[in-house]
Amino acid sequence: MVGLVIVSHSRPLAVAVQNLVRAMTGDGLPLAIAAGAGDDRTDLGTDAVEIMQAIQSVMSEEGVLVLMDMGSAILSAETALDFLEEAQRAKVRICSAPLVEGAVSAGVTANLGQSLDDVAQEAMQALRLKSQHLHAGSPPAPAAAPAPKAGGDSITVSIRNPHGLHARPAARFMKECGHFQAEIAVENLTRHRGPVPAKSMVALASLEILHGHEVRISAKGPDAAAALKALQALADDQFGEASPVAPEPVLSVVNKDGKPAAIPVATGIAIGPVHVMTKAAFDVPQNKVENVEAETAHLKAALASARVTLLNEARRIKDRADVPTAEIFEAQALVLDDPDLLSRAFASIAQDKLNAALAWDLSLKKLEEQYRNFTDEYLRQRAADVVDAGGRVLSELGLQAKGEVIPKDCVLVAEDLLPAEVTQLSAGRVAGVMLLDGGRTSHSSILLRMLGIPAIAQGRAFFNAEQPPRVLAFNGGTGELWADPAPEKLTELRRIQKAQLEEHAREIKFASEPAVTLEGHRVEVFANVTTEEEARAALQAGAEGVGLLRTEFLFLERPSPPDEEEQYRAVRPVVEAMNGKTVVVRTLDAGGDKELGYLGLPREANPFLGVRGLRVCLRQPGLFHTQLRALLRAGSKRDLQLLFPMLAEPAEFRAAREAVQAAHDELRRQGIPHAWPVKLGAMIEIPSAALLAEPLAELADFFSIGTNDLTQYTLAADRGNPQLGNFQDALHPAVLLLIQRLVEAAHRKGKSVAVCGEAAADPHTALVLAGLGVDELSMSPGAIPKIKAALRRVNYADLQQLAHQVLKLQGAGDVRGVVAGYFDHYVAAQTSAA
Amino acid sequence: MTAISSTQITQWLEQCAAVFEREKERLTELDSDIGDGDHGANMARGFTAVKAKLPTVEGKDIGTIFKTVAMTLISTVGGASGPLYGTFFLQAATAATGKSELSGAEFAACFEAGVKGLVARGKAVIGEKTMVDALLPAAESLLASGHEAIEASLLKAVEAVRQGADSTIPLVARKGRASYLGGRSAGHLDPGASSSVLLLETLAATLGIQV
Repeated sequence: MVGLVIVSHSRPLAVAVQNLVRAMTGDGLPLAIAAGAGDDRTDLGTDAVEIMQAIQSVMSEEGVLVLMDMGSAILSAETALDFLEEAQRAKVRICSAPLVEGAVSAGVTANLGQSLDDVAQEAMQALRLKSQHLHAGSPPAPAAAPAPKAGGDSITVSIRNPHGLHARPAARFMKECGHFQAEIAVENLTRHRGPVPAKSMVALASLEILHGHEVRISAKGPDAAAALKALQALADDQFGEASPVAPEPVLSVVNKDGKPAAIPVATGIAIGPVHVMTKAAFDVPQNKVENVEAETAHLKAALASARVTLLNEARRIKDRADVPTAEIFEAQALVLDDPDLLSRAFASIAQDKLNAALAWDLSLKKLEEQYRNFTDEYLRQRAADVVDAGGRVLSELGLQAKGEVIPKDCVLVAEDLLPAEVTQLSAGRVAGVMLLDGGRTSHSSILLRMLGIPAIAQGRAFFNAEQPPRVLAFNGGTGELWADPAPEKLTELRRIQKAQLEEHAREIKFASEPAVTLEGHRVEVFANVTTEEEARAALQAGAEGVGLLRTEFLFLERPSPPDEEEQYRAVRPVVEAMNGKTVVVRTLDAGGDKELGYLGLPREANPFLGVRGLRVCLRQPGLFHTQLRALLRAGSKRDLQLLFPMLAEPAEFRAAREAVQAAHDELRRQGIPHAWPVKLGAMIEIPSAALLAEPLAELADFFSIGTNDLTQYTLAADRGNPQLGNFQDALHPAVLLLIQRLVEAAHRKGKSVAVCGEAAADPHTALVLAGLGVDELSMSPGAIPKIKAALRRVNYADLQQLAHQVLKLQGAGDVRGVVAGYFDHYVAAQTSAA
Repeated sequence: MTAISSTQITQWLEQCAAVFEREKERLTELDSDIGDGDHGANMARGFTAVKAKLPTVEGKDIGTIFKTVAMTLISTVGGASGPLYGTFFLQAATAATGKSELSGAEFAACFEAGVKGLVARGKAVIGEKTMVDALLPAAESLLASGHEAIEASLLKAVEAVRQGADSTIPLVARKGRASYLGGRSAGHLDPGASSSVLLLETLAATLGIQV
């Protein structure tokens, strides 16, 4: 029978739980307690040795389940496990179930002779009955609640978000309110503040709603009931922060060698005097104006434009699956909608005849001050969002931030950098960049990588702004950093830096050369780009073409779709920048998390399994036709190829091909120059498409694999869910088997296979993909030299053997292990030999 | 000074009992602000038990001494600091096995191994208002200065551990009982970080280093 161990800080509590369990099971159940501290166990505390002994006292072949209260009980239980022999340890399960409910459920189940797995599972579900009883059918509005001042219906919710209703959850709340016509008001019952309208971010913030506060939400209007129901659901979901727990910016503080480390952003060693960047300031003109209408229109236009920029930024970041960061931009966009801020600014223009920039700046400063005066630390920090969002409007009004002279060869320390600020840096000018905040996936970080500037993020924990170090050194590849390093350390770092720079110089020198393995097998290396600038950077980095040009950004955050002309004007410069090299353009990949309001698509329970990608286009023939015309025109006299996303079966490809034919026929009739014939590719993101590679290869001219989606759909693991990390790796054998099947089918018909997902930029993954016979790898431009260099150092026959070997493994971790071994042995070893 | 002897290590650990007894009230007060108010009593109980055990390992190698300290702390402290400091000394012991004295670099390696073990046990990272905030900078400092004289190296380590502990004051706790308080934990010195400071200060004092 499975044994049970109860661990608690309190001896009497453990004894009481034991009695409760025994009341249900009798004396037959092996049950032991470990509780209390001190000689006679009367103090509160836990003892790992006692826990170990308790486990051993109830141990049998069937195993032992350990249930505990909190804090040290958990740590002590884990420590106790370390003391056990390996064979015993394997039979012990530490369980996070609630102590009392879990112990009773586990006891009853164990007493029935069930397995350890069943006992543990039953314990974990112990809360279910209780919560069903307490939460089922509870009325949305408590009967006792007095009628709110706003009238209408109301609900009272208790805020469980750890930081209260801070910017992100508040933004979610306001977004939800925006779906309804009802006038919605919020009141902080705990602080006796409000009610205030739910439309204003500042008003909401002024309620200072913190963790544990009671909040009344009232609604008045035709859809008040529906609004309250939706808001209740949102509150139950902790405004989107409940599950998965909104990841705090991850501080990877200890690297694999146990050294303190920030987040590595861009490789390279940086050593230099510290220069702390001050916040951008604007020279705001102080003049008054006569033409109030013109000035008002001016500000309105700047606001709209800044808002679009922010939301586009959010979308782009969401594409990279960094939802929390994206929501910060969304929250910033909401700042620009704040009614108080807007009315103040417009009033300053109308009444005080201030120019638009001055009116905006003054109103903004007032708002910033409001934020800075909040007592809550978290809300105070949101002042930076106000400044940032507001600064964008000033830029839109044509103001230039006061340029700051950044000394040459310094290590630049900044809270975060705007993409525009990054583009003004260059690898030769600064030694490196340490962001106090930020992360790997921000737009700025991506740019830093592209520019080859060594960089780390989340450095705040290591940086004392009051007494900054004179010299800062860091390793952008590992995140390790040293403030005022000792001379020996400096010498060592300089040596590594020199070797890396030489290696990099070699890579760049050979970047434009093709990637050919030792025995002459060629792999084409393409770039994923979205803009003309990125296309130019890609060419410099040695891209042999564009393997993925996304078009979604043209369609997002606007009331109606872009017309043919606008699409043509956006795509043509990118195609031209590539100097006649191949450019693969992906047709609109909407749906999923990229909602397009104007399409009037129904809300879906599972958007990623819904009408997405080509499925949207085939249902919206007009929209698709317009895009195809624009793209064919943009490719005139160039090698433009089209790629259809989210194919599940060949019939969809046929339909898409017919649509392209129709667009061509029409353009030809009208005598409009355009690319023809064009190659048409099938994007492989759905396992069904990979499995149907044989018939698809009859139709498509080429294949391109989107590894992120193919992995998420193969393993049923949301690519944005931080808890499923090991299922989000394209090196999973299940994904590799699909790719192998696809490559074989394609090559039999003489068709090529590309990989355009992020995975291609990872040297280990790239080698395996090449070994599977993938013909082309497309990646962010910055990764090209490194991947090319890696491919040049290997034998294709070895890669094939490596790929063959890993296909037999059972998980991504196993594959990574084998590939890392190969890589260290051959590729890295050859680097040092070179 | 170029090495720390096993006798000095024993003196240090013995001294800790007196120091934690003396600082009990202050640590408890710190812990009452943001935790369950038992840190001072727990540490004092643990090191008093350690002091009682030390005669049994007299003349043994430093690895054995650390190991004994580890097991004693694990089973007597009661709070989370038990398994945490216990693991610290347990891991430090593996790096000191068979040694009757530790050079500066060897001591740094022990300390680093201990901190690594503690981090793995508590799963805390820098910035979560825990003893890790104090211990990691100290480990880094020791590693960087391990080749210097013991006096200089420890002087820097004490400075680092103090600065690290002070850095916890504005932080919001994310681990341990203090995390239940969320934002209200900001503005308080973390008691765990504070006891880490005491450990290193006591070592320095035992070796006659003025800090």
